Amino acid sequence: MTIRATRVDAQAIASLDRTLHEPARLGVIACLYVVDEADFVFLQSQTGISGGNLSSHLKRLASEGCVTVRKEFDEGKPHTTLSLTADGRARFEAYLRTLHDMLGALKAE
Amino acid sequence: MGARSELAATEARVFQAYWQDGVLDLLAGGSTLLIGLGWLAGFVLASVVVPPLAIVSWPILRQRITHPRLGRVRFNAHRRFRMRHGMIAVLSLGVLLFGFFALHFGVGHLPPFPRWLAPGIPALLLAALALSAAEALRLARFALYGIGFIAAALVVSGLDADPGWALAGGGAIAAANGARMLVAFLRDFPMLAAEMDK
Repeated sequence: MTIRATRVDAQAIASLDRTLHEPARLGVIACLYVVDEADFVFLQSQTGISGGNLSSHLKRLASEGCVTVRKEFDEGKPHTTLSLTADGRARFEAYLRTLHDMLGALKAE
Repeated sequence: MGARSELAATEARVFQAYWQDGVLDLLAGGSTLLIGLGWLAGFVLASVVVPPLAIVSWPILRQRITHPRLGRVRFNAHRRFRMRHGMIAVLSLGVLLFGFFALHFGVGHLPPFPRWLAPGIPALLLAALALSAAEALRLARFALYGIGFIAAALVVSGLDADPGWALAGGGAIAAANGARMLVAFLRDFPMLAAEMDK
């Protein structure tokens, strides 16, 4: 029983979305999931991630199609607004389901 | 706790964070304090002059103080719907109560209220507004301000004092708390340079 349960858990862990599983990116995605859109400063203030790190995490999420980056000028100053794409929302929901099932299986054991 | 309720709690936390700057408390409380002092000084027109100034100042202060530190966010449709309807309800209640108040004072009698309560009525109207705002924005501290206004209304009614004292007292509580929150906000949230804006 223990061996089979371990194998099931290992499969579940392997199926977790590695991009979203990183804590900083998970915080960003969770924040964007519950709002329509937010600017860079808002994400920085809410997640506590430094500007440089947040920027690189957002670039990774954008390159994978999870996040839309909109740049515009607001009163002559550049302003970056970010939102989750439909694919990003779907991936986050799938990630949560996988995590939930994995934890449920562990509890059942 | 399931993922849905965790996310709902996250959304609620994000929404609460949006109001932690204390600017709204400071402006609303400061305005009420000024109106109360105006009434005490015989300048009743303060109740007409001060609120529009506060309403105009709020977005400017948010833009100058809050946005560079907290950023900007567009909440989800459900939250925006609740906020919009909540604020419409608060404003409608304010207009209704003001009309009711003006009508009864205008004709010189107050049938629904005991006469001894008359000096506390302006503060009771503000208490109703504060309690409605607490419900609309889900901010418990506004319910406390409402309770403060009710207490102030009862004190001035009991002492048969000038209604301005209740407004000044209730407003001072909200303004002092707003100032305390603003100081904490400025201390805890430095100006952030948006790396991606560069």
